[in-house]
Amino acid sequence: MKTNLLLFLLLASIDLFSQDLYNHENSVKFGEYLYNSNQYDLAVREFERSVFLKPDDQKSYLYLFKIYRKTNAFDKAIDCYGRFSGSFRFEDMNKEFGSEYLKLLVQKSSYQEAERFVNSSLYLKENDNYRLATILLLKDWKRADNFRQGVNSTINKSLIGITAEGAAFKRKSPALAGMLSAILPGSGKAYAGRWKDGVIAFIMTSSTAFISARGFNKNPSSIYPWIMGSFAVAYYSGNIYGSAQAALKYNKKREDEWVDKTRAYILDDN
Amino acid sequence: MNRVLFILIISWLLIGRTCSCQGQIFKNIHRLDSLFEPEKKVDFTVFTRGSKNEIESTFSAMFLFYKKFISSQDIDACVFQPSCSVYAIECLHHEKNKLVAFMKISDRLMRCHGLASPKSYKIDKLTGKYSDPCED
Repeated sequence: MKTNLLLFLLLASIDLFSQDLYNHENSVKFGEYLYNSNQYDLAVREFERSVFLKPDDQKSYLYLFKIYRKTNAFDKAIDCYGRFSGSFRFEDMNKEFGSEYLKLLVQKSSYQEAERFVNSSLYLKENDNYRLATILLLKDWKRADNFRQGVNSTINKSLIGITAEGAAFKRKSPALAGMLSAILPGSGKAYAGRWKDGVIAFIMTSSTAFISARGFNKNPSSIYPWIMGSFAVAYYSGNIYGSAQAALKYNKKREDEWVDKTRAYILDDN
Repeated sequence: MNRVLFILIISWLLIGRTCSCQGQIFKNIHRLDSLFEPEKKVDFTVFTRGSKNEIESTFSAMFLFYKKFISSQDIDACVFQPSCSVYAIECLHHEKNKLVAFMKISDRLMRCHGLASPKSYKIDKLTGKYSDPCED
């Protein structure tokens, strides 16, 4: 009897705990692991549980915003901010949400809106890097260069490089390319940076024109020179059109490269 | 002299068209898979449906004839995706101004050669060819 009583008292003195694996702290920790290993669909569940347990948890809302942005669920990301702040006043966003919202706008290529947001945001309008980047995204190289020269703070080196290249960029004129090709077939393509296409265009246009002219001289009644002449006209006109298009594509390609670099700067998570 | 020049130009064009050799890189090795599988039949009539006028109908018929009796006997030599014939028929159907469509087709035929620069085009992931759709 005494032994049983002793045993009972001994056991009663031991505190027994059950572990709550799904508490807020563990949910955030596990969510971060899932986020860092790019398992976004699973991470969402952890962070949603986390904000359910602690509705004022900015960190979890921020993770949710990031996940929805990265998975192109832009409406859900904005809704997530609405749930956190209770309003959709984007200009009042704090620094963390503000930079995430800017990334969202850039990711969905709303560059005009991105510039407006940065200029109106309480916390981002002081950030000259973001202001310069949003001007660069609009391909307004001269304005970007003027802005950079008027800024005293330190600007990111890659943005300085893009601005300098953009400001010094000489656009190829589609009209000039077309005119050059009209004078000498293929020269417009060479001007637009596609000299191999230009050589082939010159050979094809000139050879068909030459064969056609020779045919007309030797046997004007034959249909053969008419056929070759038609090819020559088609190649000639096609080359003029193609040269103008090549100049436009050249301009677009160069500018898109700088826009891509600027996007990469803004969307960089580090 | 003229005859020699003529022969030289034609020979150059023929050699240039047939000797466009490209090196194989390892990541494109999956393209060899097609050697061991029967070629999938493509229904080219999908490109010709919905012809709205005589020009489109005529060229659709020519396109189908070319695909059925000429292109099917040749190797897959076009450097672009879609091929020049498909590009041409798509241009004719989608471009409102037929003159622009013909100029686009002529330009495309001149750009289709073994010297085409990879810097100027994106690569089509499925075929490994240069992507040059009609809409560009």
